[in-house]
Amino acid sequence: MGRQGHQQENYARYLLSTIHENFDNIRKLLGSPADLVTRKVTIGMYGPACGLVYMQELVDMQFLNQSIIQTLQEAKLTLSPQQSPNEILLTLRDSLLPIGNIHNSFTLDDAALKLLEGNCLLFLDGTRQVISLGIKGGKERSIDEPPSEKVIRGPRDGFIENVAVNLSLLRRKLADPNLHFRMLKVGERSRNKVVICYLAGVAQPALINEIERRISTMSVDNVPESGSVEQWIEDSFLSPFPQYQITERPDSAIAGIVVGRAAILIEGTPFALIAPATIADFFRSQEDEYERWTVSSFFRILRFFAILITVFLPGLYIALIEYNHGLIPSKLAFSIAGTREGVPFPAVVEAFMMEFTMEILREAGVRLPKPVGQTVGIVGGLVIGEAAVQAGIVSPIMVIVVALTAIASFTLPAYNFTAALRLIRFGVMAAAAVLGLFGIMMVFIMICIHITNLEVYGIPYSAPLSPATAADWKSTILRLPSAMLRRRPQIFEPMDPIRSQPRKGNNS
Amino acid sequence: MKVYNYNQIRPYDTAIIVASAQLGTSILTLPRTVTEAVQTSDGWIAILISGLIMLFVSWILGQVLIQYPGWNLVTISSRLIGVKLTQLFFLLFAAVIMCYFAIVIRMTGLLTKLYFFELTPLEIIALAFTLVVVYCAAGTRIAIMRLNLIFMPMIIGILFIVLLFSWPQITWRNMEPLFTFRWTDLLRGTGTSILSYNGFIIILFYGYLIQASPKIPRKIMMGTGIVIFIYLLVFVFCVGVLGVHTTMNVYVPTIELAKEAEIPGGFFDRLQSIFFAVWILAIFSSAVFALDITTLLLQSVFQKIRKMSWILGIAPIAYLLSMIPRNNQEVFEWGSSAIVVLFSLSVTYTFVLFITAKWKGRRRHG
Repeated sequence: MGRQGHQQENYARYLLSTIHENFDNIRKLLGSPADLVTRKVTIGMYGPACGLVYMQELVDMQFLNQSIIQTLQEAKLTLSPQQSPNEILLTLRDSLLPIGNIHNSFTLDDAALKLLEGNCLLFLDGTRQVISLGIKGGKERSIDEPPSEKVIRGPRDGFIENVAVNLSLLRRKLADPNLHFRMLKVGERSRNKVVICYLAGVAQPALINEIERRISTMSVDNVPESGSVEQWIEDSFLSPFPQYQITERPDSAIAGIVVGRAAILIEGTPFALIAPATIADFFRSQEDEYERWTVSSFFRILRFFAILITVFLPGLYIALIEYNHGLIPSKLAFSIAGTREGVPFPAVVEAFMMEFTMEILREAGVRLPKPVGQTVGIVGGLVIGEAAVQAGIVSPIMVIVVALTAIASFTLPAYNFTAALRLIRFGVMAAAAVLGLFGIMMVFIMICIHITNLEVYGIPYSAPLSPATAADWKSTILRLPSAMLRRRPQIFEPMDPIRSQPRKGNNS
Repeated sequence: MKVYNYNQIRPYDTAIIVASAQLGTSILTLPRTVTEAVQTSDGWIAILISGLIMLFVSWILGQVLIQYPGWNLVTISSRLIGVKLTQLFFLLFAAVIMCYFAIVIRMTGLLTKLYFFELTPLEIIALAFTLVVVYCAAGTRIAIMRLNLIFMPMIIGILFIVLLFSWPQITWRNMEPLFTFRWTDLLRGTGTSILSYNGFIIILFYGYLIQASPKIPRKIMMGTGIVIFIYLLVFVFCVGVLGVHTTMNVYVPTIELAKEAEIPGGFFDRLQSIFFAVWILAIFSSAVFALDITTLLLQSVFQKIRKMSWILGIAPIAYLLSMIPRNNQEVFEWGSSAIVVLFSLSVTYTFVLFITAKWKGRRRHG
């Protein structure tokens, strides 16, 4: 069980042979917690006694009472006194208890882990074995629509915190025997389940092994969220860009799995990671696959321009106002100059001030409870924007720029990617303040240098833009008609490159 | 640990990289230098002839590369012409290419100042540019190739936008009379325009990155072909829009051409600034190629010193070199002499490799 940081070891480190000794031992091991329940039950009318140990509310209480304890108490099997305790245990396991998920444990470590995971332990006098009954229960959130990835058209189910349920969601959508789940345990203390889901025969085995290797190198106390795993196994921690796609939607995860990528599900969080991810994956919404191809392709291109606006517009404003007025058509230049009249700050200060305010508003809106959050929107958007212009602190053009930038940044489905772009925007603004349009070009070049140098599991982050795999553009940059997408994207080098074969109908 | 390997240039990318290496600063001044030499609108013939010669040179270069697929140039060259001679060539190349890098830095500063700002000092612009080049060269070599693949569509795109919108401004009479050149002038024009193709040599140095394929000579020729086509278009448009005399008398006729282009709707008043902004990408790639190849060459000769030390050594020297010319005239003069040396060196080296390779190849088979 990894590190055991107990102060004094006044308990035995193995299973003992009587129920009472075991009860005491486990109590000592766990420090007599309030939710530990130990109970003795007699098997049948005259049979031997057995001991049940479980954590309250981690097990399904109703099932425990009605199916386990009742079955044990009403058992009509005749146990001959000659039978050894081990044989009795075997009989209980094989012919009495109505449970599918049942295991024998021989060590205290194993038994304690099972207990803490929500199993019920069953002890018997005279044996150093214990059986654990898989009757995990307890309260959990119901499956509902993922709040972070809303779609207009598409399935409404989302992952929840229970990884077993999440796996079932995947299975339900992809009933393929090749859908494999590889489970690992991560977190020295928390022992979270991390499951790598992939399609055998499509995903590169080397990729799956590498993901497994990276995850198994993790050495942390606990894994509260997929972010902990992501940051541990990513290729470059210096990069502002996310290197894993995160999703709350089973259909997104499946879409990743069928093209030869792997989904990583983590116990305790509804967010799954999809690896490897390149820049094009952050432009995509799962909904694109469900809408008509013309509409989807248009939206994808639109998002691309939205990114450009998000990153460069405020910088461009600064550059054009401060250095390169000549680039603005003269009529527009006059009207901008007119609105800027009386504004006491240079465009740089104005832009930084407003963008900063915008970020503060956004952050406040996220932190506050929902009803208050809307108030922030109104106060921030209307009052501050309007009042700032009225007071002559900023120009109306600046407000337009800020609003456009903010709205454009919301068009991207991937929040983690947008967050990176928002940071870069401030860099662009600083460069524009110092070197104008030339500075913006330099930052643009630097971003390009960074994304071409960054590799995710060896795949260039800039793929499929560069190296340009034109065939992949059909499904990644654009979204052409489904009939044209017969091949899986090549960049992930799927073992089976063909997605669908043309098939003739039977109507003749 | 990597799972996937994307460490090679594919044959198709080779064409783009060859084209990208040749498109740089020279296209900006090409219409001027050629018209100066030929004196009439027949400069396009000179560009075409020099282009055909370069196609031949590209083919030769491709032949050398497919004979030794995936080999390092040092190994190829040492085997063909001996270690000493290889090192000599490499050091010469390194020196010239470093000077070329310096010229590119200065040109960037000069043109940026001309088209973007009046007040910002040139030194600062050049410094920022050099630093970004260093950042790029510090990355992996294959990333530089990928970067070019990203930039190329933008570069070609902006060029075609300029050409499209200057189409209405063309006066075809400017092209007349045709075929009135004198042979000596045409020869001089060919000599001038052939220098614009000087970037072709880089593919020889990056040869070891190219995926082995029999298509390579064809792809390199395709890259050169793209460049010929673009040069011809730009020349015809420049002369057609500006006229022979103006083309001869402005520093950078290609940007002047962009100035003449008019986008309907009046939103972009000054296309030349946008054109230049995007063209910085092309200039940037030539600068990166220059720095990276200087590093590569020096690293092959002195193998003990790390790549980063070379980059950090070369960049400041090149930056200081770039500040030596006192005025624009000197920059252009220095630039053209550096390019003449680089070009003749490149062609000589290519031919030497080709001939020795053929000779050795024949001996091996015979």
